[in-house]
Amino acid sequence: MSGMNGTNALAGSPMSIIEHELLHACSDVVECQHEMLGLLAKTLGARSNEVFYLWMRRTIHQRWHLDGSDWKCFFHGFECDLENTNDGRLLRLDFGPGGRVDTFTMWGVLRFVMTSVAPWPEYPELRVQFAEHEESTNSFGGSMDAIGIVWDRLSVLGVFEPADAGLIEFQKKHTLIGSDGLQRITYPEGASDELTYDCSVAHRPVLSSMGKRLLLKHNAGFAQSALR
Amino acid sequence: MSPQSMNVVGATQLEIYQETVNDMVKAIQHNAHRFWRQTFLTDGPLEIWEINGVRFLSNGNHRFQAALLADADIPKDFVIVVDKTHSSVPTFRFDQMVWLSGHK
Repeated sequence: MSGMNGTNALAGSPMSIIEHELLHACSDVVECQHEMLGLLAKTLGARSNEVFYLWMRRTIHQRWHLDGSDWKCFFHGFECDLENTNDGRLLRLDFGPGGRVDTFTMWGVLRFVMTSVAPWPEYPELRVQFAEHEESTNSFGGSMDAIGIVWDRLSVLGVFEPADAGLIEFQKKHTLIGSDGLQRITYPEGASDELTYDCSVAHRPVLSSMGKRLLLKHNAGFAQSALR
Repeated sequence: MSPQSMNVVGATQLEIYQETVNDMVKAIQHNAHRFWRQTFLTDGPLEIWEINGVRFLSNGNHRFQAALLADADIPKDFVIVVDKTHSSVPTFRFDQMVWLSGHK
């Protein structure tokens, strides 16, 4: 079992058990995002990869109840918050370029970890580790500071990478500081709306090839341990 | 930078959750630096779309409203303005926005 300080290392691994569990949770978030995006797309009568753009063009309402389910959702910013009104599960669709949802954010993963119940995976050790000890400023009791410590360690290991480094560079190339001191982006003429939406979410993390390798390696390791 | 001085007149979304804004006000009052840093990491910068010279929030509506209510500045580094001249996206002035009870 993991220590509560999250520093117990897995044998022959650069990761602690807590770090591995968080990495696993990121992978689970991606899987659940795909599941829920499919349900949402069905409700909207759209293809899955169109949902992000439908929202960004504001051609759909903000609030929906997903057909034949206990799920409701709220679009805002560059994401969509989903809530199961029966069991309290929370999932945020953190859209990436092209409307993909292999992207995630620390906040989205924290909400998922703190509220996920069957039929989705549960994370009792992560919940203890990430519980908010100060006066809570969110409805699910998760601490950004606590998850941030583990998240930063995973980042150092190189398990995350931005969804599209090329788009980040493209956006940077067209960014200047305006007369009011704010960063100002002026895309070149002819840049499509979809391209500009994609640039806004290009920084969101995905699992890197290193992250996927470590995940596979540890999953295999745990399976072998279970057989012994 | 004060939110008022950003000359934002509205948003590209109609609805906003009161309790989410209230929670953010508390978080700003508790530790503003921590709030802006954490929300930048999770939600990205406040993104303002300038449409034919008029500014509307596209991302960060709850944070912006919380800063107004808390009478707090927003760090410049956490805000970007995107030139969206000719955009036909629907926009709503702040006095047109619908405040919903509860959290988002």
